[in-house]
Amino acid sequence: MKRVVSWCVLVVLSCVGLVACGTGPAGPSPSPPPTTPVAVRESSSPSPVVTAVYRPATATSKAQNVPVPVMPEAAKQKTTEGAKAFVGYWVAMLSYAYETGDVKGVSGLGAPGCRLCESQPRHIAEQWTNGAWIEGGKLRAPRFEVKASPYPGRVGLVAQVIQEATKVHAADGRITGSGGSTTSAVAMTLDFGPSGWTILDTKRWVG
Amino acid sequence: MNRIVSAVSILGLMFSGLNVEPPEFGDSPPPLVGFGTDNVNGEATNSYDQATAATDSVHTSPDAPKYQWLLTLPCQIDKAGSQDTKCLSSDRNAQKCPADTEHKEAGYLAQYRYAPVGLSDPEWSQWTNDGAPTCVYNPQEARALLNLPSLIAREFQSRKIVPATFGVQPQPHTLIGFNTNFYSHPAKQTFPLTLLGQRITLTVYPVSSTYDYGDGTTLGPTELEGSALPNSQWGTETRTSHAYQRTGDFTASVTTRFHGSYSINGGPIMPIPGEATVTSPGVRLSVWRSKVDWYADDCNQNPHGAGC
Repeated sequence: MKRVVSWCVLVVLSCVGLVACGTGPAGPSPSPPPTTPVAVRESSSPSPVVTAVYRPATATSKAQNVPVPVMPEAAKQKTTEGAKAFVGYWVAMLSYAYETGDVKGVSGLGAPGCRLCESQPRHIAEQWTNGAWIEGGKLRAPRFEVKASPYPGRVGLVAQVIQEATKVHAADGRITGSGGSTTSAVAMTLDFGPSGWTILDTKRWVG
Repeated sequence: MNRIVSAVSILGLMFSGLNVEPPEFGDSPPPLVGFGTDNVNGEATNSYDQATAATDSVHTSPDAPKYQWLLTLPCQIDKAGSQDTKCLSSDRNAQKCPADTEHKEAGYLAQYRYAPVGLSDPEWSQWTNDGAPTCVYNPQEARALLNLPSLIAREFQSRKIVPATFGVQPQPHTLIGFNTNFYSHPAKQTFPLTLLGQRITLTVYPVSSTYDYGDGTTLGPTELEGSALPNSQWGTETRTSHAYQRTGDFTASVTTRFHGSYSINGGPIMPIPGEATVTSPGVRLSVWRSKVDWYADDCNQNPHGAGC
């Protein structure tokens, strides 16, 4: 019995390791805990059963079994760390939308009038039409800096957002759009309401 | 003397290839897709600009550099010019920066890194110069390069920046309660200079103006520059106009905040930390009270009558 237990621990640890490598911010930084996608389902049997293998998009196929980001507990806290974690979640959901074309999840995270929260899902949905798919385009937010907010209770911060190079493939595989990798700073204001954090507004630091 | 000249020409060579911006912001059309393609710097759809309210140094000057830059020597020479002995025999340096007819010994690989402005501790991305390595051939050159940013910051602070053109309508007399129009036209200014033998282009550009109306009220800092009104429209309320509430003599002025950027030998445009403020010469204004009197006399018939 003892053997079985230690085997389970090993399995769990290796899964955690995998997940952390997937989306966690690189290097030591004051970033919030990484948003952990559910890559592997828990299984009652002692051997790990991987139900779906994640495969990023290629020039010939869409991404498969892209793990859906799960909002980390930290992102539900009414603290500046919580606000950072929430922005990390927003970026993870945006990344998921680029990879899958599914913009439903990310669309609900911003308040009406929040500029990037509204324009980005629209932009992504426009690419994913008529059987087209996106290769690359994954996003991450490695750095956050909290700025003073003139509005009590709200959090102002600047997030660094890095996106890998993006290619749009039409249904027949032709490349119909592309963009190089980008690194940008995004100014944001967040508010904590009865249902948790909301992004009130976002825009790029310099145009 | 010979030595100095050769060092200068080598540094010139070093930067001669640095005239390319990171891929997505070059002269070629902007990328069609991605996070960097949204134009979201226009008017906020909210009643006020919530994102920027949180970050008062956000500005949208077209002259503002988008990136901050960092020069690193991966196979390191530190600021004092001393060198890691391991690097002297490093294959990487010798491969990328081999000895040639101009250089008796192999040089060191230098690498620019860049990150968006707005963060004090960003994650740096490696800047690729289309595969052509940037090389440093001796510790003096490396030291000069690493010291350039602080020299340029000092130059920025010591430059004589031309103040904004400041206009007031009407002047020197205006009336109490009358919409007196103020405008300021600050200009971008370029200073070519040579530092450590490098051709530097230092540019200062206005980011905001603060109007001091002289009666204890101010406007700004604001990006509003205002503009001159034709005589027939004097008295119209503008976004920079002011109606004095009391009579007296006041001196109005405008103070402009400038930010700076520079490029070395036509290389990438890099921001200079800090800012400079320049106040335009004040305009003295006498604010008068107007008084209306009615006269029945015809001045043609009685040129010496009251009011004639």
